[in-house]
Amino acid sequence: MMKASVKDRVALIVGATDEIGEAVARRLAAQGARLALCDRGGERLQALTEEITKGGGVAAAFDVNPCDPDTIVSGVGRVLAHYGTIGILVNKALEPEDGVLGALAPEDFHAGISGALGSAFHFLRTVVPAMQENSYGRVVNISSLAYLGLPGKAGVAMAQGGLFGLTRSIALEAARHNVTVNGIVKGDIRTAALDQEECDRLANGVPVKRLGAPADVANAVGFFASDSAKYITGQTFFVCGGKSAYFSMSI
Amino acid sequence: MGMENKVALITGSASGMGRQTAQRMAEAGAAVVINDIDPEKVQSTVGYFRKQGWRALGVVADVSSRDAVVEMVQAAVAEFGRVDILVNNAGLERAGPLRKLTEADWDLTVDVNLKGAFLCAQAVHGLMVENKHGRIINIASRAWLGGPGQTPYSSAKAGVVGLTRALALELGKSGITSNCIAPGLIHTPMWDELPEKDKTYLLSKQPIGKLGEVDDIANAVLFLADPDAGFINGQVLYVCGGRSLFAG
Repeated sequence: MMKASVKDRVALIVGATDEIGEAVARRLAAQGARLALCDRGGERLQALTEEITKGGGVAAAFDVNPCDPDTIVSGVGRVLAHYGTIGILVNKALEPEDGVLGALAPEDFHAGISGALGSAFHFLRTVVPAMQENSYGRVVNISSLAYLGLPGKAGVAMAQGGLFGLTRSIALEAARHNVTVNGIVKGDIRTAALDQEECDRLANGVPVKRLGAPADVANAVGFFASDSAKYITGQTFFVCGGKSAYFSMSI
Repeated sequence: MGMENKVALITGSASGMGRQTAQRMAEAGAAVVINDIDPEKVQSTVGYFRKQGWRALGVVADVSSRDAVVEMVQAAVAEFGRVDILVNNAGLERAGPLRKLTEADWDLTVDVNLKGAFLCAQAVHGLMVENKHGRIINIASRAWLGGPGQTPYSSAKAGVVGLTRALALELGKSGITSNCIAPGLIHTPMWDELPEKDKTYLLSKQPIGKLGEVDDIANAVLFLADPDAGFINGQVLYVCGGRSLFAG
């Protein structure tokens, strides 16, 4: 099938320096998007930028701290100066350090909220007006299944739970400007951090009996970021092998 | 290419969203089974598809009849060897205030929208289990969230959501994903027949300010049907221009 096209759109990707962010970057680049990779600068970000440009794609790295509103504003300004426009924004929510309630410190509240929710809020606040002026935008907020609530995951649930309402509110505000805002919620994804025993244990709890791959998340992002999804907005869509069906509040 | 040589059975595909979905799949290389209860529409649709060089089989069948559904799947297998993708799109609505609705209105709405989806899923799933691969895509509706004057339709479409989740949990381990799409307002011939004042009102309630098109639904089906969508299971994808967020 012809994959949904994002040809020539400028895609600002937050947090491309992990396996999922990298998969999203590769997928959007392969479909013809021009990338603005925003994260704390470093070798991994540079390596990804070079990989994409050497492969014939268009990508530039922008040193931005996703938890700092000031660097977000200046970073977005640099992206707009470089490319002239932003058509796609992918917010990948940071996962805070987490634990059971008794183990959470008061400062964990602020750290969790600013990393996951604050980052998305500041990027939306800075990018969406430019998209509205241009009458085009596709925003995808990536979060995790734990936002529905799991023991030991109150930090993630609190912070990423806020993304649910933020996605819907901004979707309704921006709808008439041809700007869509959707959330992709990832389930259990195989990454290098998980050993085989952990993978097997988690896979058993997934209805399709396997873990997802970063490419599974990237494929979904690619759809929602494209014109094939122009009539879809405000949605919270799970890439989870069916695990979300074990939760109420997943529809 | 994901759709090449896949076999897709799309119920209610001689018109509207079903037909557009079948066309997009055929364009992408799939063999399609066109189904409807109207023989003329089935024949004309299949004729058109074959003229384009696409592989298409027409089957006239009422999805609310178990025998008819079993025969339809047998015909699909006889022609194409298997069924990889099932799109439960056949549906209808009997709307009206609660006091005016008849038992027949309820039965027909539930039989076609919900029982039909169940019967078709039941009839194809064995083939999919054998092949360790399948895609079941149910067309529900934004109306499953409830609408005044829509008690049978909202109920049946809510049932489709429950059916989707149950199928997802039961069949996921066999390589079969089950998902549903909840369309909102889509531009179809039914829309064209509405009085202007109704159109104006409904458009004013659309966050996006416009109608959806049958292609928006077809694109969503292709996204879920793709072999690369194997980790998407049990989902409700609203294709509604944001109306599902707030329908007040």
